[in-house]
Amino acid sequence: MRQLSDLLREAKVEGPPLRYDVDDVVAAGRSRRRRRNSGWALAAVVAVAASIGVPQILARPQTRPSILPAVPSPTAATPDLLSLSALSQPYTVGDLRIERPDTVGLDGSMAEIRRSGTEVGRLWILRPEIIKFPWGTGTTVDTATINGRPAKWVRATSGDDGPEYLQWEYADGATAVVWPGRELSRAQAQAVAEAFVPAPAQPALIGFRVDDLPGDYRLITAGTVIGRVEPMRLTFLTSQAAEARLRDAQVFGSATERPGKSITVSLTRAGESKYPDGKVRCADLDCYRWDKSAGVLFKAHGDSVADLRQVLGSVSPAADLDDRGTWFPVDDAVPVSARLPRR
Amino acid sequence: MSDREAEFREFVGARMESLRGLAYLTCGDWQVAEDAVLAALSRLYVKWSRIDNPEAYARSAVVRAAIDETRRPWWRREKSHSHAMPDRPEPDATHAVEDRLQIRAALATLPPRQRAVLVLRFLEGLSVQQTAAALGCPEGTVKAYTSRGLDALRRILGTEWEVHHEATV
Repeated sequence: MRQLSDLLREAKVEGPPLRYDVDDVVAAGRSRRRRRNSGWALAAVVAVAASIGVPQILARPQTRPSILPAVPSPTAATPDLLSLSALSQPYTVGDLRIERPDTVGLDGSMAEIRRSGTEVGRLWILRPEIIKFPWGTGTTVDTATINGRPAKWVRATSGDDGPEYLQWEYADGATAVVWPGRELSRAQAQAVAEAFVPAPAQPALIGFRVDDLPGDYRLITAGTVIGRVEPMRLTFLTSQAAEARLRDAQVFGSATERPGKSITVSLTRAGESKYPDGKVRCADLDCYRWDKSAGVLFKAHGDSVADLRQVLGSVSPAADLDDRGTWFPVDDAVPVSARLPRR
Repeated sequence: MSDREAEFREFVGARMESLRGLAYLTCGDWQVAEDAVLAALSRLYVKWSRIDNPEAYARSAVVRAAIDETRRPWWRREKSHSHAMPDRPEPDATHAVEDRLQIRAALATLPPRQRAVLVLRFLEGLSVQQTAAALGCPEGTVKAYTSRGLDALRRILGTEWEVHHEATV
């Protein structure tokens, strides 16, 4: 009779090559220590300021402008195509910093909520037409009011261990979500929601571009930050599936959506690599191309190695990944054929 | 390089691959597993000189980080289009590969915390008490998740196996 431990041991063999090494871990640890130390210094300054009566400059304004939904504006060159834009701007609430959105998609944009440099939650601003926000059973566990508008706390999945999120209508017909991590209280999440002010959509920037895309794939999301939880990336879905999401105005793919009909192209920094410079190497349905001069490793994942090779043959990094001024607007980082039409 | 940093580097070099496997079995995605390991070990770096049992700390931090990753809002949105565990086992010429795909697919049907409990108990060989401490939950929860998880795996895989050699419920 087999032992469960043997099966579990078997299940974790043959993973892909590690993307990180000991040096990366040590660098991340040093960075975390620096952030923590600077966070404490900032906290001390805030405490002193509060004690001597400095006005609460971090609080939201007393009077709020009329609220309009964050609608991505079409780019001048392609007014008939959907634009993937950042729907929130950075702001601060107490010791929390809401960053520039790092993920933009057909459904809206997501930004980190950070404390002392560490992510403690996410702010997700949905496009006005995105009305379906199902995650599991989506059970309402509490209600609240955000700036006079109804809000609710929702448990994403059944059972007692599903994540909870705060969902509210920030403008007529427009939904936003605060997704708290373990270190963000309900009160703090609600403070983040109350301080959010919709602003004109901003172009999202990304540090690489794809010039050749096979088949009929359409861009659905872009991750625009290097070195965070996920690599910088562009994700494409076949046009039928992408259009279905848009048509159904839903955030997530439906349960019946066939997995695998997608291509994800990502970029991570890599000063060294086991892959040869400039050559595409594939294992199963993952392909890699290392660009030594730029110090980056491109990776593509999808259904067809031939397609992945084609994509990786056309990717190019921005001139200077440390200078966002050289990055590409997400809308311009893909072929026009990969963009969905506006509805 | 200080002695402490050298010790830390040695620990990471020896344990990183194994911790990634632990995270992978918990969250079902190699890339996310690596991110969880990096996040957990970077926290361990900051606390290295104050941690008595780095092995236990790292194991707990990695599993918790992997669970946290699955609670993120993009998890469900991107899951079906990433490098996650397959939805169903696919036949293969060798039993080992078939076993691997089957157990991965079976694990993928369980909630992450149930997966974590099974992995900590039956792969890492932790007791109920140790598993509860690692996950920061009551021992009763560990027992319940163990029972439910094993039932689910038996139902999905249609098989029995030895489970009592590493830990007792």
